[in-house]
Amino acid sequence: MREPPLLEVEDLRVEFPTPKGSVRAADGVSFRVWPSEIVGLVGESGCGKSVTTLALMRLVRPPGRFSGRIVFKGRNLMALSEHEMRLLRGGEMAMIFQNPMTALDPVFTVGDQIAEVFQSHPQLRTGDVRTAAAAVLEQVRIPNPRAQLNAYPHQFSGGMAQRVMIGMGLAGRPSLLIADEPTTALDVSVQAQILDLLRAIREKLHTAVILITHDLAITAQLCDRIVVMYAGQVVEASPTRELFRAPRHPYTRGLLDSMPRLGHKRARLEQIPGQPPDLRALPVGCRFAPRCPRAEERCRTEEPVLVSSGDGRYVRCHFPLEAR
Amino acid sequence: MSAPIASSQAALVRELTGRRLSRFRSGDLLVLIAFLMLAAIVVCALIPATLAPHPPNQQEITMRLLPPTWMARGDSAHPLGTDQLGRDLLSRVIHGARISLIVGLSALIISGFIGVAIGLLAGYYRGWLDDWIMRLADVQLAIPYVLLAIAIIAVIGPSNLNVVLVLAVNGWVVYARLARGQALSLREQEFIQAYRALGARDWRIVLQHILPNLLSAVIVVASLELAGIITLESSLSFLGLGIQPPTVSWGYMLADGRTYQLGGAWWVVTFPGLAITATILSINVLGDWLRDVLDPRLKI
Amino acid sequence: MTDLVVVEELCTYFQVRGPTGRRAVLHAVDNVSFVVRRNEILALVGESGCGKSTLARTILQLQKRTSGRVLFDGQDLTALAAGELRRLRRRMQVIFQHPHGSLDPRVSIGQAIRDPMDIHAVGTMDERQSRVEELLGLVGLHPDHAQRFPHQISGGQAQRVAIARALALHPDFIIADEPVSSLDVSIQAQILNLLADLRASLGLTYLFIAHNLAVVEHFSSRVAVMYLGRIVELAISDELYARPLHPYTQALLASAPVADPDAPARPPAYIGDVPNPLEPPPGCRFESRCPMAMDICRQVDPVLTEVEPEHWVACHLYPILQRSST
Ligand SMILES: Nc1ncnc2c1ncn2[C@@H]1O[C@H](COP(=O)(O)OP(=O)(O)OP(=O)(O)O)[C@@H](O)[C@H]1O
Ligand SMILES: Nc1ncnc2c1ncn2[C@@H]1O[C@H](COP(=O)(O)OP(=O)(O)OP(=O)(O)O)[C@@H](O)[C@H]1O
Ligand code: SF4
Ligand SMILES: [Mg+2]
Ligand SMILES: [Mg+2]
Repeated sequence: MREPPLLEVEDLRVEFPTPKGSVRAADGVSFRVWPSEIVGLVGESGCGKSVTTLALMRLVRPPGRFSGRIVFKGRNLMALSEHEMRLLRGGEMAMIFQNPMTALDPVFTVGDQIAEVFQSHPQLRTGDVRTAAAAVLEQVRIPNPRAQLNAYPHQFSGGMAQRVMIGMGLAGRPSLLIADEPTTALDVSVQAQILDLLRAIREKLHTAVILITHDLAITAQLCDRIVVMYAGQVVEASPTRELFRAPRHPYTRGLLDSMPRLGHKRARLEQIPGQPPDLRALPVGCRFAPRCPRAEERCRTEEPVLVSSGDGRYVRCHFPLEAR
Repeated sequence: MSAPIASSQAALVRELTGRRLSRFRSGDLLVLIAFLMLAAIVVCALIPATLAPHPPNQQEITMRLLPPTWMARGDSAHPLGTDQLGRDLLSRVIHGARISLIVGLSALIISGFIGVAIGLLAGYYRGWLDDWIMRLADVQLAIPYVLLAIAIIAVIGPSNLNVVLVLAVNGWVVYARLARGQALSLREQEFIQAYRALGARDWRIVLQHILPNLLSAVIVVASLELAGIITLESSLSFLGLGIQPPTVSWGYMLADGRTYQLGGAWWVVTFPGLAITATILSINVLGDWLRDVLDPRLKI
Repeated sequence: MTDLVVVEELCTYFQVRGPTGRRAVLHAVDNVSFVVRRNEILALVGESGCGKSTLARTILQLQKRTSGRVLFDGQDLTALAAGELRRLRRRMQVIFQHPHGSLDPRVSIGQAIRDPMDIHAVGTMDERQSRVEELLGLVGLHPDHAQRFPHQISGGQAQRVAIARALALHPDFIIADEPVSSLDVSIQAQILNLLADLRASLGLTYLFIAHNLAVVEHFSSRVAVMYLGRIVELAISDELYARPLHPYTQALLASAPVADPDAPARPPAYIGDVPNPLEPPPGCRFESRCPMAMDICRQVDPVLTEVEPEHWVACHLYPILQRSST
């Protein structure tokens, strides 16, 4: 990859103090995103995916603290003023949230909330605000967009609300779109449309996308690369095809195995034994060791580091699985 | 005004879309200052006679309209000067604290309580109750409040208690509308539905899940409403319908001194005005702070 | 009696404002009938916005029905007095679609799970406390999570709290509205296995709403497919996946993503306009997007009929097929 990366994240840490010790929600997360690349971010629920992306936009709220190096288009985001950050958000860097229903404010109409984007970024629209807002709904295929501008969020189904969120995220023509489970609430056909939409955006506007999802099938179809997180750390990063063909980290392997696959009905789904660790009392060695079928003594005493194995693959494991 | 109910996510989205957070982030120092200021005012209200250098209604005709001490004609016995009847302004401001606080806060609490209760019921149950109450509210809003106040006082007669009543009657509408709007949107939220699905009784849902979630909005509005109540009280006083002399209230002082202020005696209205402003500001800051404290999302 | 829940000709309409601001009626659930058999897992799939959640809410009487009946264990829920209905709610629980939305932001996790027991006054204080801990463990959360508030946990964790809360009262019937879509696949497997175990051990019955067709295939006994407020196909799960009859079901299955990076990208299965839910077409509702549409489809609304044993479909193609084959 010849161009400089669009986004470089290095050693990102996010902590939340709680009465019983700090929750280390992201602990030394590093990865890069190149222009017009779609990167999948997957991993255990609660492993810090959402928090990591919130930190990228400097939206971790106090009492949460975060540190690390975030370079976006050559600018060090940690050094920007709050005002400059605000211009970036919703403009060049956009985000779509995990819960469409709570991300929309229940007391304002959908139209008002879309209009807000244009009020704070007036350069984005050509016609009047309502037309622009209706166009946003149209882009994400909400039937009769003009009328729906007057609806309140609770009058929308989950999928419709999610499409509104996606539309709002795209309104700013971002060069990086962070999508936190954007299709979770959607049926497969609307989902396919949204994925198509993301592909088209990437082609037309060269928008890079960080896609957080639990649906591995979606990452298989859409993403160029996949970053796998576990307990606040990146444990594997790899081009999609290689990851699916030959996962190297035992956790990735566990994930792929527990996925139900269409047309392969099993009596019982595989599951990774045990529970993810408490982020306030992390094990000494490898964080996955208590649940790992390959764990040996070394795993319990020495923490593995993320190492490159060439060919664009990275893995954090003492005994990675061999390429098949 | 934004609705703080939904979730931190709605707020995040608002930040994302670039809108400035309308909320004034009150620093701890500010809260401390506000607290001290309000404490001082409360102390004045509690023991005015001990603090004030003179009785509030003691007139000295020879000392009429003396400016504050630091001015040319000032007198050291009257630090803030005197009014048109030669009464000591500092003493009157100190004595005024009691009735102003009592009247302001009780009107605030009564109207808040009634308004929130009515609005909650209307918003949660909808139906005829809702229609009926909201129509009443609209009608009341259509009548100028002074007219309404004159009408009520004319019937029940002026007294300090009745002033509180008039102010409360005027204030409930704001809370009722606010609470209704919030209850309307809250009742559609999934978590409220979840409690209904669990078989929770209505009162439990309303008191434990709807009320706490709209309280923060109410607190903010209430702290803003206080300003309105105090001004309203002074207009009532101006019309002779407010707090009855010899009781001193800030509102009455404002109303009473208005004509002399034009003659250059600015201090006659400035000091009660400052007292009112200080009270309102400190209550606003404390209200904001209280709302944050009540919000588990902002807790560690 | 094998049927735990019987839904008869259920309709739920909403008054909404149409395009020009005038009032219009939205038929979110339109004349839906089906049964949920004891101890089965009936999956409900369909386009977003087709009325699945509304149907679920209406069955539970959280949403006023426009017409129709819902029988739960022989009792007509639509005719019950408020108090009786409340008591009956112990036996039927719901897991809502949006994990964070279904938790009160001001109620701690532990209290949220305890609330059902408090509401129905089940057990002593200590028993409730230990049940909370047991439930947290069951859904794979740490006991320490009990003190946190919803904003302090992730989406998947919130979903598990909602699941724990639904299990608290040992219900007979659970409506689960996309219970696992915000969970990673390993916890998803864990929860699905748990729900399946509970079904076996406690005889639970589920109405399971989901979008992930692989999950549905794996988990359900029968599948109902909804389109614009109607059930268009209902069949035993294996049968439906092997031989989908309704063109909409076929399109749906064709657009399910497969977990193989080498598989060709699946285009959106069908194009054409989503019909306006305010003015559903007089004939078949899928007609505007259906590749097989015939003249009759534009005029006559097909009814859900059993074209083969246990396989119901609402489409004009099938009676014709049968007629021509006999
Ligand atoms: N404000 C907070 N205070 C304490 N802990 C928090 C807070 N916010 C998040 N956490 C914890 O940080 C961890 C990471 O949360 P995050 O929301 O990033 O998870 P996630 O990977 O997005 O999970 P999911 O897939 O379930 O959405 C979780 O364990 C969560 O409990
Ligand atoms: N309270 C309401 N007022 C008006 N319309 C509503 C209301 N609730 C739902 N609707 C409408 O009813 C239809 C069905 O919504 P519902 O939430 O049941 O869909 P769904 O099938 O659950 O979709 P999803 O899979 O996206 O969650 C939608 O068109 C929605 O806009
Ligand atoms: S380092 Fe050891 S315990 Fe950790 S994943 Fe690799 S083999 Fe398993
Ligand atoms: Mg998340
Ligand atoms: Mg739904």
